[in-house]
Amino acid sequence: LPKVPFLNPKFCGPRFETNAMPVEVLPELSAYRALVVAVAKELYRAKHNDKKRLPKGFEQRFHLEMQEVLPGSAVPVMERVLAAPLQLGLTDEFDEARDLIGLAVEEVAAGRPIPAAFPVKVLSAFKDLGRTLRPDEYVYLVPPGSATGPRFDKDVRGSLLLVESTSYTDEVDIIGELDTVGLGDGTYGIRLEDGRTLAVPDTLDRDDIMMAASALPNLVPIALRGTAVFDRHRKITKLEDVEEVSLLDSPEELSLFNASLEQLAALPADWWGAVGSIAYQEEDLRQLRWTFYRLALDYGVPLPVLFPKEPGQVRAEWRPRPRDVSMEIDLGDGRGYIHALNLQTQEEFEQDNVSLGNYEEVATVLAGWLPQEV
Amino acid sequence: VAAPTGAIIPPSEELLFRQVSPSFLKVGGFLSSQIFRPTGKDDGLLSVDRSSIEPSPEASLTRFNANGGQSIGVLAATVAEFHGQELACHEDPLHHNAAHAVANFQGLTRGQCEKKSKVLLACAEARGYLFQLPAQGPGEA
Repeated sequence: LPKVPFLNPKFCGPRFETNAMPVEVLPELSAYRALVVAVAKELYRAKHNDKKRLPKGFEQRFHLEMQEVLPGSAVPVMERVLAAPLQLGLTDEFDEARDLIGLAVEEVAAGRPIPAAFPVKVLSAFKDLGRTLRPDEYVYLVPPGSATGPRFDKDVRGSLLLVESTSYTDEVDIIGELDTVGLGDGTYGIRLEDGRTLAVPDTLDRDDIMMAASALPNLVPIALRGTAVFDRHRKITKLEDVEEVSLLDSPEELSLFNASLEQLAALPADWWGAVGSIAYQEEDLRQLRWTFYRLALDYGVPLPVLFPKEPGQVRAEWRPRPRDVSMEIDLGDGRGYIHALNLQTQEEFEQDNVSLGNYEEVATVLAGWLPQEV
Repeated sequence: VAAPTGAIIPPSEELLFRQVSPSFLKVGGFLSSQIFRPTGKDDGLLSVDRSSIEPSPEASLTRFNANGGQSIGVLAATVAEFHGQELACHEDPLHHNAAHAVANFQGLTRGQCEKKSKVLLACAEARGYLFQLPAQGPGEA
């Protein structure tokens, strides 16, 4: 049977840089097919007001195959297998659905309303598309014969789902602090950076988590992967399902980190003893805490010990002997200077102007000098 | 920035005392290598006390704190260890402290200061505290 090109979705982001499709992302392809079918059905109904039912075998006319994965980043080539050679050169509701989906994505991404022709009742079909994408990943929906197409990402997905609803669900990978007492009912929660605590649904390893937490100091960083409900403002309101929970469970490291932050917070305004003295601001220290949580949980960078440097600066130190590693951070612009020394070999490294907010960069620079914890 | 004017102290095993600010000590005894580096207000000169003139680390700390300093302990590196890091040590007696001397970090790059201070801290940590005030609360070992 003849085949015609249907879509060349271009997946971009760190996981696709090897030009391959990770298996866990493959559901995106079947979700896309389901979306096309849902839109095509409504287009058919709109065109044929006199027909209440779809023609027999309507959905079977739409058979998609993935032929190959082209490089740059990863482009799974999707072809449509035609039921009969006679269909060659003709377009039908499935082709129109593809184009309309692309147009809807383009309009919403640009902050405009969805096209009037788009069947609003199937907007919910977007719920399965983009679920496996991470926040730094996106897909260009490239139609045949084009070099590029509209960009679909988590934000666009959320916007599409919020057109007709006040909430939507999405897969999340979040960090926070373990809260074993805030809920008061024997369960545990995750305290987010904005201070809210969300209950963590029961998981198989709940008892293990609670036991591990009892041996740790307060403020235990926790990473959680699962599904969450978002409201209109894109804030998580509820955790629906949790697949994986991990704690940063090095008591000594945690104690030193927490104590060093407390000491910075307790420094009086005149600690520097000269012109320009100023106490460390709570907001600066809060950002610092969460930055190092993120580096620890997502990138395996051990928590440092923090010291005052000069007004407006903080110094982070790690000492996995024989190495001595430090990062001086300017709290104003969030940039830092990293220096590392191996006391045995005298091997030395330095890099200035590292952005603390660029976790990938910080982790890469520190890799090799610090033990990796994940 | 004025260069040190005192005579250079020749390399030897003489201990040079360095006071430990409570800001540079954390719970668990973790010390910052900043202890062995001048701060931005020190004009590139690191203050130390010569043990050949003041042999008591406790007396050195007591005098330091009596003159407005805040020290909770005394570490030390030898003159030879400073010289090993290409840091010249100069006599610099003060009216209230005849043992005072300075190690010259002037003109060094940031990386050079980092390396030298880390090596000197390792030397001092291997030697251990020569004197330490009793712990007074969280953050003081």
